[in-house]
Amino acid sequence: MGKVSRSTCILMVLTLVIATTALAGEYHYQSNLNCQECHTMHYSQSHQYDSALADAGHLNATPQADMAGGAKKYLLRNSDSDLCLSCHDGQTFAPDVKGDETPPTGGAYIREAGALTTGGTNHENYKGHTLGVSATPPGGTMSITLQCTNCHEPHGNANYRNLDGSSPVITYAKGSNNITKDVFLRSWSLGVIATNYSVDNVDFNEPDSTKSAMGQFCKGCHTDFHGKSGDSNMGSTSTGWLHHPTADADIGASVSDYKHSSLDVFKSRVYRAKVMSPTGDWGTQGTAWASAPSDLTPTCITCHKSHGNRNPFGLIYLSGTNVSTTLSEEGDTEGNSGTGSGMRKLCNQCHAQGGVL
Amino acid sequence: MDKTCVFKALTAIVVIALIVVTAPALMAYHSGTSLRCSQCHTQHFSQTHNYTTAPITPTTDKAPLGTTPRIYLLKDTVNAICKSCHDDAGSKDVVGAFSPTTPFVREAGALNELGGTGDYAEWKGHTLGSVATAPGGIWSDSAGLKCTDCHEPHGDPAGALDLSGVPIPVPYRNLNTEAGGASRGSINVSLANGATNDTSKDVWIKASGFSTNNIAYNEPSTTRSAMAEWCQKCHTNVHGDVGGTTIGGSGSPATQFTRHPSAGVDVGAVGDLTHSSLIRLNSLTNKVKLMGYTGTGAAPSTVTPTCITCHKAHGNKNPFGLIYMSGTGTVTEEGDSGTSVKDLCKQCHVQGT
Repeated sequence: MGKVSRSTCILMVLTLVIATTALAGEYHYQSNLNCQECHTMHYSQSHQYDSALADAGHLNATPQADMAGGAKKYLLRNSDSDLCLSCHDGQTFAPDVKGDETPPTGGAYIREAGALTTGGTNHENYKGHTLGVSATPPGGTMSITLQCTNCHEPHGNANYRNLDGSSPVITYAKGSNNITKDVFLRSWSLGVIATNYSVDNVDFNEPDSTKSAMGQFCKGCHTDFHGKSGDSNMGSTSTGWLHHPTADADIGASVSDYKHSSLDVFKSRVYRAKVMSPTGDWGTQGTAWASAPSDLTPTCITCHKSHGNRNPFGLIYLSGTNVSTTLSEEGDTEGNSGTGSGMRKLCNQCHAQGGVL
Repeated sequence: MDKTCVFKALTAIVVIALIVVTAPALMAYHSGTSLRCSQCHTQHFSQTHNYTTAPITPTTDKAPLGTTPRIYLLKDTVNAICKSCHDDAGSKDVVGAFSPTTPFVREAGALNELGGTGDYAEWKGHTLGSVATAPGGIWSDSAGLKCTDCHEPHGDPAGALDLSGVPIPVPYRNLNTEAGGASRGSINVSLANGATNDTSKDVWIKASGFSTNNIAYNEPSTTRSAMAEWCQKCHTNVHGDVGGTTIGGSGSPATQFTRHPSAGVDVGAVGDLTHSSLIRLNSLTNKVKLMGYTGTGAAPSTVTPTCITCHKAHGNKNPFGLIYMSGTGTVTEEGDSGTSVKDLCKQCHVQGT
């Protein structure tokens, strides 16, 4: 074999560095994927991760205490979502995704995805995704018993939040935006949970003006709810929408009147629901957005928390009218005050029919 | 002028303005703060239960929405949605028979439906689902008459104006400004709410509820009727100005009408036995609704009949929703002890008696 040229060597090294960097995803992926966190080779171990006992620095729990129930298939330490929740529910070292938030080390934050249901007060089953319950997803056709891995790839991937199952996948940019990617994570540092998963840290691009990557993902189960203008299940502005658009319908795109969505209404909101932007421009939350462009598009996560929250169906009752409001996973104070008006206030983010509250 | 004084005055003006603007909205359902998107709309046509006809028990009435989503994200057809609440035998029932817990006489009477027979046959009032052309007009709903042809479901005033051209923040009964294809920013019916009347408004709602006892009609204009002009959006030729092509009339006081006047003509204006008689009207215990009559005591000489004087806006058990009010007996949606249209005519007319 002849000598490899200096430039070729440099190119190979650079390629390796670039490739490594691009593939150095978030947790549960590549270098952050640790087999023993979920698997046990012989179902024999002096301890496992128990929500009451586990601690990132102290794992000396009662031997065998939580290995009850017999060996699990796939060499798993625990069954299904129980395994995930042993870290992702009630711990400070991992993002809490179920029920009320256990503040991480960095302090409490508003979870972009909200909270999975618990079946108990404030997080009843109808308020979001419910693990372990067999049901047909609304708008879907097949019955499933929902587990974390129905949506998230446990071994990780290069997609946003390790989401899996859709085609094309949900891409994301980190640190600096790339409008060809579906999601923009403003920052991500290992262990900084309060920032990584915060609602302030996530925004949604619109690489294709007729599509929504999030909508496409959700459509995998909620089949009838998603599509583009003209799809038989969706309808269109000209024929009348049959399901609320989750792509391909910009705010205020129709005749600027009181019978369709209103960009003027959206602009006036100091706190605005998450929308897709093809230019990566979402304005500044906390102030009205007089220059909001006419290309902003709502999608599923505009109105719903992906996991759920304390409102029915994980709806985000965001009034957005008070700069001094208190924001929450449920929206804001004004959106969640008054009986029965929360959904109206969410609708009033973009719609003016009947006037704006 | 002292700045503090000016500030206080301006603040008072703003507060008063807010009260004036806000107060009607607080009284009207399906408007302002009482408008609930989710009562009529479903974002994804996915719901564990629907609003069945009363009595509604949400925990047990889990009828799904069906298999066919509807445009505008509606839960059902327009009339079916409206009727899911407004055809339930309760106090807000507007279709057909009526049996609330506490009985009252509905000011607007009752709608009938396509195919209706008997007490609420199609020809006895407005017929939901009818594609017929409005009598006296050219308008029809090719998809069948809908509640929303007359009532704005979002309570949007659509630029409603009163007879003086003043914007109406919330029209009476959420009447649709654009009924019959009328333009946004056209005539509608204004209202005054509460114990104190405002004669500059077309209708006085004395108390909440839909009883005829709670409603009186003012006459802000002596030559026009907002209610008639609103009805005229569909029933074009049935209403009009005195001396105009639709209703005719000449002289002063005007006579020789080609269609019964619905504005601009006071009862007893001519003052003889060949025209209307105020003496006749005031001899009766039960009087029809008239503009300028609050409903108590003797009717003044300025009272004026309009469309709702003779007709229930929705309809009743009589032909064309006519109110056969002889003047005595228990008041009902059909009138009182009266049995024919002559009883109605004799509220104001003495010809032939």
